[in-house]
Amino acid sequence: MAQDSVQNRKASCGLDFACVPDIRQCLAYSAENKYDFSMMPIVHPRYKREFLSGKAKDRQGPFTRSDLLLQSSDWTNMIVGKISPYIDVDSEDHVYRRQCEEALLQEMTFASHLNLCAISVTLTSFNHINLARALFSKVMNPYSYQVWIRVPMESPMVQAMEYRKDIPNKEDLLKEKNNNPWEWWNVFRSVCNYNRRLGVALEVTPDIPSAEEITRWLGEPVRSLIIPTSLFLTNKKGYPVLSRAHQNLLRQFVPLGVQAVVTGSVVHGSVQYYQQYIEHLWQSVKLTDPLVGFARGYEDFLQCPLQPLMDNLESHTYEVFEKDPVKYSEYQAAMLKAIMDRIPEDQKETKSLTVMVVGAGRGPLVRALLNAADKAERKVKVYAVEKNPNAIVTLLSQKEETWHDKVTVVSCDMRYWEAPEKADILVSELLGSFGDNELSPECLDGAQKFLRDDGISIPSQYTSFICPIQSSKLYNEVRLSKEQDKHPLKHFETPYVVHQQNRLELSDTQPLFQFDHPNPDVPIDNTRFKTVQFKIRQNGVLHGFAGYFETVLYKDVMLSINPATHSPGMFSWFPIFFPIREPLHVKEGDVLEVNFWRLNNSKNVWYEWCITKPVPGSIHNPNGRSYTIGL
Amino acid sequence: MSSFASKAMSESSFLAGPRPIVPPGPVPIAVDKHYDFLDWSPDGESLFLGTSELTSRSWAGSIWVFNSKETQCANNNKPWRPQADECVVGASMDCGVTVGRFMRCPDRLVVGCDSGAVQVIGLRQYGEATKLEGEGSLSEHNDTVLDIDDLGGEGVEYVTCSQDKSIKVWDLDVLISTRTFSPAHAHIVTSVRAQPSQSKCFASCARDGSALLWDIRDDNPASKIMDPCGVGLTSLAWVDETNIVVGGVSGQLIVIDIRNISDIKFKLQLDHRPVHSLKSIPDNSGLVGVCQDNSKVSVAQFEGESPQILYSNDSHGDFVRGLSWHPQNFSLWSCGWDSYIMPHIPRSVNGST
Repeated sequence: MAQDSVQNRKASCGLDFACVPDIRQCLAYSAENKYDFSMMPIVHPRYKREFLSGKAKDRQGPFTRSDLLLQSSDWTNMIVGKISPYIDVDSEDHVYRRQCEEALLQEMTFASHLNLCAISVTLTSFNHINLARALFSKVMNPYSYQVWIRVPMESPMVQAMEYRKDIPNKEDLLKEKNNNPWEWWNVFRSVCNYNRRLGVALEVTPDIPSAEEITRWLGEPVRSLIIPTSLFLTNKKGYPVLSRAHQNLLRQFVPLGVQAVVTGSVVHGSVQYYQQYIEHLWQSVKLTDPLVGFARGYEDFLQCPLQPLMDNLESHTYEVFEKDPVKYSEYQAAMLKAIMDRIPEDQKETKSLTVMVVGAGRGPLVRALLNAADKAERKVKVYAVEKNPNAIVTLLSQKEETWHDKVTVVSCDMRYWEAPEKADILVSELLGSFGDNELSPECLDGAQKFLRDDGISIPSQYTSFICPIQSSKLYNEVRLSKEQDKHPLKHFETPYVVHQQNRLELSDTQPLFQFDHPNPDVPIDNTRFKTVQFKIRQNGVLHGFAGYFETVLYKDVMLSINPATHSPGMFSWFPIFFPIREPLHVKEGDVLEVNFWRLNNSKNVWYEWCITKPVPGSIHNPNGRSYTIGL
Repeated sequence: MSSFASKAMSESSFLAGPRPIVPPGPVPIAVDKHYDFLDWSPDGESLFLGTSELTSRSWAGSIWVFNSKETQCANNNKPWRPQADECVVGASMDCGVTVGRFMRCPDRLVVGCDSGAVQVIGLRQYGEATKLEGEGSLSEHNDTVLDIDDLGGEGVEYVTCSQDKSIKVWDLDVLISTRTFSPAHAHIVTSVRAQPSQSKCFASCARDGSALLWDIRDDNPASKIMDPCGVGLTSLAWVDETNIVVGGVSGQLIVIDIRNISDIKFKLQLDHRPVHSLKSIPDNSGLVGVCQDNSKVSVAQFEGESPQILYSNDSHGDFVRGLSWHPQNFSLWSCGWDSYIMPHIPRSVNGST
C-alpha cells in the first residue's frame, strides 16, 4: 500500500502548431525546446475535399503528407492529431454535413493508420451530437486512440460579448446554460457513454471561472490544459510568467497528472521559456500533506474492502497500518484518559485495571496501552486477544522479550472466548473505511459479555458518512471491473476502497449509521435503514457515493476520515465508494434522496442502496447478491 | 512542385513571434500546385498570385507578380498556367499563403499566412532586376489569417481576421496593430470587409453563422447583422455602401441592408456548396463575383427588384479559390487548385467584348 513519496512531478508539456510546413523540422524544433509532444493537423487545415459530386471528387494525388516522413514510433509517441477546424458534422445544412462526415471519417481513419496516440476536436456549443456519435463509433474499438475534447473554460461567445454595443444585459448571457462549456462537455460525454478514451483538453481563458466551476472541472477526466501564450505576462527580466490567479488555477490541476500544451504565437523571445516556466510551476507544487505522499499511485485505484474477520491479514498489511503516525497516538491518548478516570490519584497504588485488547494484531495497541499506563503511573493487567494464529507468533515473542507477565496472549476469536475475568476497558481497532463495514459491531457485541457493566469500550461510538460524488474516472474504473461468470451487475453493486482524487462532491457530506459500545439493548439489532437527502450545489452527474467515518475513541478523543474533520496526517483509511449502475444527471437545487440499508443474516452482513429522488431507481445489491461481508 | 530545400525556413515558419523581417526566399523553380489568391494592382498592370502546397512533403507557399504582357495570352478567355520564368518577380514563403493584395500601389504587397503572420513586402527595382523585400512580418494572430481588407481611410489601415476567432486592425505604415478583438466571434472568423466610404467601419462573419458590423471609433464597436445559426457563414462582400451580401456553407447568398437588419432583402441559392469568396466589382454597379467549394465561377447581380446570376463558368478543373476584378476593363479573374488562372467577361464594358 505504501509507496515512496515522490516530492515533485515533472511536467509533460506539448506544443500546438498552427501550421506545419515541414513535419520533421517542426518535431525537431519542438524537441529542441524541450517539449515532449506536439499537436499538429492531420490534413492541411485549408485542404477541403469533395466527397459527393463534381470535378473535384476525382481530384488526383494524396490528400495529405505521407506517413513515410516519420518513423512510426514518432507518429505514435510525439503527435496529437488535430481534426480540421472547418469540419462541422452538426451543420443544419445536410449537404455540408455529409461532406464533413466524410472528411471527418477520412481524417479519423488516417489517424488510426498513423497509429496516433490521440486526436483532438474542438467544441464550440451544445450541438455536437453527431460529432459525438462519429467519435464514439471510433473509440468503441478497443485499440482506438484517445480523443481530446478541446473545451474553453469560458465560452468565446461570452468573451466576444465584451465588444457588443447592442446587447444591454451581458450578465444574463453568462447565466445561460448554452454558454457554459462544461454543459457542452457534459452532453458530449453522456452521449458517448462516459467512454474512458474521451478526455478534456481544457483551454485556459483570461477570465477564470468561479471556484465551484473549477472544482467541477477537477472532477472531470482532464487530460491536458491548453495554455495560450497570450495569457503570459512579462516579468522584469523579460521572461514569460503567469498571473498569480492563473498560477493557482494551474496548480490545482497538477495532482491530476494533466499535461500542458502551449498554443499561440511566441511573444516572449523563445518558445522554450514557456516550457521552462511550466516545468517550474509544476515543480513548485509541493506535496506537503503526508497523506498525499503516502497515497501516490493509489489515486482513483479501486481496492476491494478488507475482510479481516473472514480472512487473516498478512504481515505486510499489518506493517502498513502500524506505520500510521496519528492513529496509535490518539488511541494512546484515549486509553490514558480512560485509565485516569477509572483509577483516581489516591488509589493508584492499590487498584489495578483489567484491559482487554481484542483483535490485537501484531500488538500496536498493546504497546500503546502499556505506554499509556506508564504515563499514568497506573497498574494494568492486559489480555491481548487475537484470532489470527500468524499474528499470535508476533505477540508471543514480544511477551517473551519485553512484556513478560504484564500481558496475557489469547489465541481465540473474541466472539467465542471464555474470559477468566471481566474487563474494565475493552480496546479494539476493527473499523473499516465506512466505520461498521468490517463488522466491528458484531465483534464487539460478542466481546462485551466479558466487559464489566460499567466498563468502557474504546472506541465508544462510530458514525458513517456519505456524500454524492461526480467522477467519470471512478465510474469507468468500476465499469472495467466487470468479472466473467459473476452477476452482470456485481461490479456496480460492490463498494470499493479508493483514494478519490479526480472527483467532485455534489453536496455536503451527511451522517448515516451510528453505533455505540457497549450496547445495552436486548436483543441487539445491528440492522439499519436511513433515508438521506442532499441538496445539489451545481449541475453535475452523480456516479456514486463516497463513504467515510468518524469515531469517538473516548470522550473528546476522535479519529475521522470525513474530509470536514479529517484527523491531520492519518493515512490508515482511504474512503469507500458506493457506485450506482447508471450515471444520473442532477441540477443545481435538486434534492437527491438516497436510502441505505445495513442488513444481515446468520452468515453475512451487507449493504443495499437505492436512489428515490429526483428520479426513483432500483435497489442495488438486493439480498447481498453481489457483495456481502462474512461473519 | 516547389523544392523544399529552396524555402526560406526559419523558426518563425510554424510559430509566430516577433520577427522583424523575414526575407522572402529566392524565386522558386516552379509555381506551387494550389493557387490560393490573386489580385490586380490598382493600375491594372500587375497581377499578384499566391500559391501553396497543401498535400506534399512540405506545406509551404510562394508569391508571384506577373505583368500585363504575360497575362495577355489569357485575355481572350483562355485558361492560363503561369510558369515560374514568366514572372516579374517571385519568392518562396516560409509557409502557405492564404490571402494577399496590393497596398493601393503596384510596389507594396500584404500577405496573410497559414502561420498567422501578416507580411508586408515591397517590390524594389535594382536596374533591370525587380526584387521582393520584406518590410515587416507581423506575427500576432495565433492561427491562419483568413481575410485581409483595406479600410480605405487616409492612414494605411488594414483589417484582418483569423482562424483564432480574432480580428485585428493594423496601421501598416508603421507596421503595428492598433486594435485587437479577441475573440471577435464565438467561432472562426472567415471574412472581414471594409464598408465602402467609411474608413472606420467593416463587417465580419463567422462559422457559427453570425455576422457583425464594427465601428472602431466606439468603445463597444460591434453590433449585430446576423445572429448565430446552424449554418456557418464563410464569406461576405459589400454590394454598395449599405447593402451587404453574405454567403455560407449552404451556397445561399443573403443580402441585408444594414439600416434594417431585421429583414432579409434578397436570397439567392447557388450550387449547394460552401461559398468560398465574394468580390464586388469596383465600379459600384452591384455585381459580385462568387466562387465556392467547386469548380464554378459565378457573377451575381443585386440591382433592381430581384437578384440574378448574370454569369456562370465551369472551366476550372478543381476548387476555385481566388477572385479579382481588373480595375480598368472590369473583367473577373479567377484562380484555383487546378493550377490555372482564368479571365471572365461577364458583360460588355465600354464597348469591348
